[in-house]
Amino acid sequence: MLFRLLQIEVFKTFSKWRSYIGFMLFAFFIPLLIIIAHYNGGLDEALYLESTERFLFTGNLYNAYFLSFLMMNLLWIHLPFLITVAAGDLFAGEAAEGTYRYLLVRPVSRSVFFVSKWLTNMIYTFLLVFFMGAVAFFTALPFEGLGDLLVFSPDFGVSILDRGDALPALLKAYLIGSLNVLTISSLALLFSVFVSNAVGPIIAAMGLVIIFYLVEFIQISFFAAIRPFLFSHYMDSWIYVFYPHIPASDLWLALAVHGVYISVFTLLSYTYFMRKEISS
Amino acid sequence: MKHLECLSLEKSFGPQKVLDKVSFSVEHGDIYGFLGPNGAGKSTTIRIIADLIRADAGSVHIDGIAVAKKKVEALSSVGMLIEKPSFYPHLSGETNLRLLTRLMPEIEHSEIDRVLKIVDLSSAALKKVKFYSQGMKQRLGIAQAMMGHPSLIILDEPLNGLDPVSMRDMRDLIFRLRDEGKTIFLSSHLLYEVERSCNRMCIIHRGTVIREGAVRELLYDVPEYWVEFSALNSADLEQAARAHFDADRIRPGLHGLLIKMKQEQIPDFINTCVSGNIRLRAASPLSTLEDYFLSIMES
Repeated sequence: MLFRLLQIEVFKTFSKWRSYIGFMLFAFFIPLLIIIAHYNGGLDEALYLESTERFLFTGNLYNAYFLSFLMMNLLWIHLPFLITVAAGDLFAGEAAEGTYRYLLVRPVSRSVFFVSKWLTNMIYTFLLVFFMGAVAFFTALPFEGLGDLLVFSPDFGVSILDRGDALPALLKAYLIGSLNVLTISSLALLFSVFVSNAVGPIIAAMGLVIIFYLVEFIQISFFAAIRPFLFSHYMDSWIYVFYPHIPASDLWLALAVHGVYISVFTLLSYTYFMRKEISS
Repeated sequence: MKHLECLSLEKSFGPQKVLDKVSFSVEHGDIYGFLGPNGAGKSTTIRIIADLIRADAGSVHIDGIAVAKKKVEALSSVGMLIEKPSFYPHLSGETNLRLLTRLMPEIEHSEIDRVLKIVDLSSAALKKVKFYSQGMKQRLGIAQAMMGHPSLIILDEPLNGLDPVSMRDMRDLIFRLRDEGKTIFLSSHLLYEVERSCNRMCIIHRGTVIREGAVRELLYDVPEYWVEFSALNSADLEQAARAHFDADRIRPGLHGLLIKMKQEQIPDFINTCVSGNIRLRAASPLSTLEDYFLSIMES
């Protein structure tokens, strides 16, 4: 039953044009950015914009791996926003259109129905994140080719991975990035269960994310004290995989925090949905 | 075993109690009418049957299986149309029904063509539901309720939005389903349709069941009703009627004279006519469900 419902939910999600907004934006703008960058200075410009340090390098560091890494910065705000467009609609859209009952008056258990929605949300999140990476990689490939992977971060500095290690590291980073974004889509899903308007969950989830980011950046001792407990503090945990000197425990801690948030959001959504009175 | 049984259902929304110990039962093969004015609690009851909302107390059993405890099993052979039909508007009628065949593999794909043909929607099958008229949505709602040959079909206001021809077709369909051995639970505010279609019924008012039983028995379970008399010498009939009844209880009928009287007055008045050489052709009680319903509501 779960697999059948999952098929239905995935089909329903991808039969709505709004589910393609993220895919269309990435499919259009990422190639556009890469092509513009290609004809306007490539790595020099990119490094100049991203870092205050100066480097002298040889070989092809401005390549498809590097650009796939660079695009991961979209995981902060842009991609979560696009994810919440679909996640916010999963339950609230049904309530708004009065379609909960179309399937729920059938011999379908609510818990299985909920799980199918949750899995659809997860599939959508992972698909969009990996789609973004794939578009960046495959668009950059013919223009920039392959090479070693250069990464840089204000917190951890510069790291260069051998081209043989680049792809596995990128795949791992995208996987962790997907999990990080899943926290935000689970939050949108939670709001979606409560309301019958798909816009509400998007605004509420993104509003909360932005507040958490503000806590991250505003230098007040109280905020500094609570930061380690907020998922926003670990939104960049995907970058750890590019820095061999960062202990694995840091990554596990980040994943654990995200895991706790995802679990809490999911549990709250589930509990409320199981008791929800479907009157629309 | 009862096909559908509601036992002492209670439900409140905040301080407002909308169902108070609602109990009724539907036998296999019944066409069961569920009547009540707006806000009486009909839709709440049906939503509890469908497990869309939970009762504060009481239980619903389908073929003896408690819906709240074993929903999947209990609803395995139930088709429902609840109030305004709900469909995925961006999908076609056919695709909406296909979702059900995907959900329940025991429903064959050919079922889609069968039910669409029954409700006369074959030609609009590929059209998106958002472009359907209210009547078409209603018919599609009935089609989805029939998918998979359910033994119990719950129809909440199925005639809403239907034109007179479609209403007649719907009535015929209900009879056909009954002849196939289905049980129909029909909630409607169209008293005439319930009277014509149902063999048993329940009237709910302010969250309480006030009457339940066979339609034919309940119809004449009123203190007084209209009886239509026709006679060869109609002038004499009218004269006799005026001698026995107040003027406001007499009015012309389609085939004769209508007189509002108590049941026990009927033989007395017939005797009066016979002894007065009034040549009666017929005396037909004309109690309608509407009369019955209104008398109950007024009382």
